Amino acid sequence: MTPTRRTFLKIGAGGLVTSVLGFDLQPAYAQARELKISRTTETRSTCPYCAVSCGVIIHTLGDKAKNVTPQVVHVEGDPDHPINRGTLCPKGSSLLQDIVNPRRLMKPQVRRPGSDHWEDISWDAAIDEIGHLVKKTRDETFVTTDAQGRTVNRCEGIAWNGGCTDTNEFNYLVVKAMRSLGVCYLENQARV
Amino acid sequence: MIRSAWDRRIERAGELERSCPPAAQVMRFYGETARFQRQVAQGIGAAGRQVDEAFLLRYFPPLLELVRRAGTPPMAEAAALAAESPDSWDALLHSHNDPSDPGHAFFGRVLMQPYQECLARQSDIATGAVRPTCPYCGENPVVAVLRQEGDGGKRALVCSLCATEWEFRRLLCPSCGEEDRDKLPVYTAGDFAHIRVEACDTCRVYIKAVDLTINGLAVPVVDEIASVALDLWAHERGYSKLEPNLFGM
Repeated sequence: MTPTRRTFLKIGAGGLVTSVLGFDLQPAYAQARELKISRTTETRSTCPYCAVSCGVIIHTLGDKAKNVTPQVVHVEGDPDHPINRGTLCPKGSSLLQDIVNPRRLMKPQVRRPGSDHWEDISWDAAIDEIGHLVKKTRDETFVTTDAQGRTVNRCEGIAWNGGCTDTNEFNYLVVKAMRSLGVCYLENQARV
Repeated sequence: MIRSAWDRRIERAGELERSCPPAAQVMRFYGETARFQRQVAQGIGAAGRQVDEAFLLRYFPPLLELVRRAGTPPMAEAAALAAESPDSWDALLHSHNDPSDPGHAFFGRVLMQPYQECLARQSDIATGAVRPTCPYCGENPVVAVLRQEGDGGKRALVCSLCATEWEFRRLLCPSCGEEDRDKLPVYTAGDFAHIRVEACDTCRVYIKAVDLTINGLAVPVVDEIASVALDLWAHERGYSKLEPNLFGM
């Protein structure tokens, strides 16, 4: 296909702008000057929430300038995707909130046994505390052999529950870490 | 009474003439042209299947009269010239896809559009295959449409000649086939919330898309003409339009 590359403008005497057919484009030209144009990039992706793997299109606002951080502004179902043909479940429709969410936790919190509220905790304190509890629980519940005397080397006192928005890389580390501890109640929620 | 596609276009042109002052002149003239095209379409419908292109020649006198009365000075001049030489009408009719001469292509397009549209509506066209040109007449698309499909907008292209709508994938340049998302920017402006300029940085060609999921009252062919400010903007950024509309814009 050869696109039409000819111009549709005529600049007349006194800088008057008209179309090739003589329409006065001066008002439209003034309007074009005032337009606040945003550049959006559309990216095909897959909804991470469940095993259906619906196709989505993510709209990212940003003019590709080096000092501008692209911002996700909209997520829609991919109408060309053979699995969902544009449809999304209520959870998938809210996918934007997985990416941009003012209520996201930015620091670790802890709820003590018997407590009714969450309290802030520093990263160092959180990691130390988790480390101590994991060590204590594992030492107390580690099973080296089963009732028939077979070697099993498993830790039955710890379970791991992942989240569907966890990344591949994160899940890889989770499986590595949990298997090395002997944890068998391991679910990383990797469905897609 | 069932409203025809022409009725909706005429009505929409009236709305946009009032609501979009920068496009008032072109919308007023488009309204007149579409009323004339509706007459042609009704004439073709009444004549049945025996119509051929020569049938259209009888509509030249009223068309030239319309352009002389309501058209811009250069168009009125061209119409006056054409009125003097009826022998040239056949050539004028067939210059509808001559991009080098938009002044003459206009006359041919005004008559060929309703004719081809009537023929296309009577044909069985496979509109599902992804192809860059019209599955009926092979012309380029003049505008894209996004229609609600599930929670997304399904893209279709609209033929510049017979107004056939056929499905086309999103994130795919209809001009060069580019699929790289970073090369396919979508530009939007607050003044035209439902119109997107879908550009391609590989071939520097753009097509406007009318997003019916944002404004379901829009009529793609008409809203495309009324948003000429976006064409001027794209033109200034070095993009060319895939296919100019009826008015060569």
